[in-house]
Amino acid sequence: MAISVEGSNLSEAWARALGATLDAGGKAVNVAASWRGLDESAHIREAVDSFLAARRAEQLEAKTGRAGWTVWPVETVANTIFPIDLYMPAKGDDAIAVFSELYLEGREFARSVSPEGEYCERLVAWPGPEGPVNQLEVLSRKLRRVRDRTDAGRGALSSDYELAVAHPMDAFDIRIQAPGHNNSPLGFPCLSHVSVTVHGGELHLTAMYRNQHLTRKGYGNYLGLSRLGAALANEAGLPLGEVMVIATHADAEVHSAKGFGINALRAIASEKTDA
Amino acid sequence: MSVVVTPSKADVEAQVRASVLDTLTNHLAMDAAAVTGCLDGSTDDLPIASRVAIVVIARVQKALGVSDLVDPKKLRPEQVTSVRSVTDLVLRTVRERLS
Repeated sequence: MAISVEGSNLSEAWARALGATLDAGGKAVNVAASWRGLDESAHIREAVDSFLAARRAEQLEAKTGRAGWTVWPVETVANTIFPIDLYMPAKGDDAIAVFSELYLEGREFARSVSPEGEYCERLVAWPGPEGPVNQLEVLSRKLRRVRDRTDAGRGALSSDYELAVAHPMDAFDIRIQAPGHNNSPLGFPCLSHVSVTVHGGELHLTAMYRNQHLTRKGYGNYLGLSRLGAALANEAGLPLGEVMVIATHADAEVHSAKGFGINALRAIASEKTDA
Repeated sequence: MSVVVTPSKADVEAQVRASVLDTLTNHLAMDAAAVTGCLDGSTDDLPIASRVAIVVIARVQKALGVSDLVDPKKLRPEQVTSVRSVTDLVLRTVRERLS
């Protein structure tokens, strides 16, 4: 059965999504979490940071953690989606181009750490059949047209802003949008698709995961997507409205090989009520 | 007869500092006076994000014409949280390489 939770900010939304998934037995289908804007609750963020730092220290101490299962800080996970520190609004209409250039330079340096790819790389250099496609650049050009028009948010200008993350040559997921092709290919990344809508004088962002690890990555995912939304909203000259993340399969990682433990997870999920 | 001139350690270290300064000020819009003061030790250190540090390292490597000065697999985000920490990391590696 689908689960839908709302939070007054991304921290609350994450804590509620984690709590609802734990209540469902640790794994659930179609978990949708929504919130508005970029704000966080400091006490929830601190609880998540402490929890992940402790797990990371245990991992480093024990030298465990195979590739792909390493526990990373929230900021590192968020940076795999949108490293906000490389986005400089003061660069004006060149901000996304500068961001892309800086990101790809850093990505080239760090490629050996995650050779399989990174979500942000899919956004700025999606591997199309005729070469890399910078979806962010294409999207930001469209959004700047919204900014410069007075009829934005009506008709076709409301919902023509898609960012494909999955690659058609990857396996198992069906997705709708291929940049420049609009066919229906298959794809592998956990984050499959990002959709942007301009409505009511705000920019809204929806993201779909085919599988989401709520404990190790969920909070960083929410943060990175909010930051991506904020940057795109800036391109459109609009405030960021609602952010929604849908996990078609959500995993609280209760049974994780890393043994996070349900009591520890319950404790951080319950932070939502302890302001 | 051609003469091969090997750059001194001081020259290479100056090149590293110049590349750090250029990246942070011309490409990442940080204040030039603040970064300069940070690099020469006359002012407080400045915090930077790990992704900024990664771009700095990538640019320093490019300036020096090497691709393997810093091993990204051994780099942890908590090691490079400021201008001085990332500069020191690169300088330490350069000194080890030149010694």
